[in-house]
Amino acid sequence: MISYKALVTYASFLVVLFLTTTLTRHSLPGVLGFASNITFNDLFSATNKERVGHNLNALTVNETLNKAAEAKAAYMFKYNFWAHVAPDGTEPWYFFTEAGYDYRFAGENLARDFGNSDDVVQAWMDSPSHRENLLSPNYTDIGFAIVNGNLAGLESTLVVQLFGTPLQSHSVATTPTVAVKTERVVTENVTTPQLSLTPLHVLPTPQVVGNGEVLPAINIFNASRGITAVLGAFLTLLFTLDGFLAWRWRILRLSGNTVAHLAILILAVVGIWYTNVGVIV
Amino acid sequence: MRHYIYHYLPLLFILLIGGYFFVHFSYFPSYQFLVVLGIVTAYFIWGVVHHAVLKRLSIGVLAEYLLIGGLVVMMFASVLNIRL
Repeated sequence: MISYKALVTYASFLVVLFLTTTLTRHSLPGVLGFASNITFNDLFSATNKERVGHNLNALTVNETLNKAAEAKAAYMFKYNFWAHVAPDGTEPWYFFTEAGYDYRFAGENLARDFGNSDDVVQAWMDSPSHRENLLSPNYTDIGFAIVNGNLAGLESTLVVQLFGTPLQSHSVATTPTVAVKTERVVTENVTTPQLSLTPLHVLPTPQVVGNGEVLPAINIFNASRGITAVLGAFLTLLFTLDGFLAWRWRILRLSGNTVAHLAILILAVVGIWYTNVGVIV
Repeated sequence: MRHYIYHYLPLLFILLIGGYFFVHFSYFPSYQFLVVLGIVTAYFIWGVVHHAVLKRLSIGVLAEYLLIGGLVVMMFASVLNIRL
């Protein structure tokens, strides 16, 4: 079971699994995806809990920022991208001004495919640049969009978190700020870019959710992780048994090093077990 | 194995450093996949050097390291949330 032929079979099985999920994404968009139970209220309270815990002001929900966040999420679904700056060069700040929010300070955090709200906020807190946004004293307002839709063939939940301080607010105007990649201090007029992208393919209209559970037909992450973890554990067991028997019966072999194989297989199984499905940018 | 215990120190170092960076890049699966590719490449090189020093390097041994490394890469390719 650990002959070359068997190893090729295991590898082929994984290649087939990978190709099947990739082809399914494109031929049957929306069937595969990631289960999510993210809510607006949970995100908002978790964000403010972190801020208050760091002796910062609690943020106020701003409806205009909510609309800007929804517009950003819809734009990402429409043009099938996942980034702060769109492939056509549209920056996050465009959505602030387009929604009618004239900002003095502005920032954006993005997340996708997380299972729940606490994990989203924890991921942002674990990343220095996102944490800097989340704990910036410059902001007074916050807006969210939690939108479910089809991104690159997978049913996904995008979370857009926008921070802002309106231009007319002078209370924090003298506070120095550290510009991170997703935070902007207004110093110039933001020009409206021309939108010229064409969607890669027609996708269903994304749905703003944020108050309930999203369940795709097949949770691709749990399915893939289960299969590969079992295969990895099976191989680890085989090599352990092989190494033990070779040692016990004092068999001299001119093959690879069982200890090295076991070490990388154990690392792989542990790594797969602790892999996160959620992504931030 | 006892005679070549020092051979395993570089392998241990490779796996520990790789594991550290894998955890460090949680929530950034593209970087995590690059880390996995780095670990597997280093593991393969370690295997070649280890067996060359012991004068036991053969095509079969190379194939074994390639197959197991390929399996590990495919396992992570199936699981990591990489797209677009």
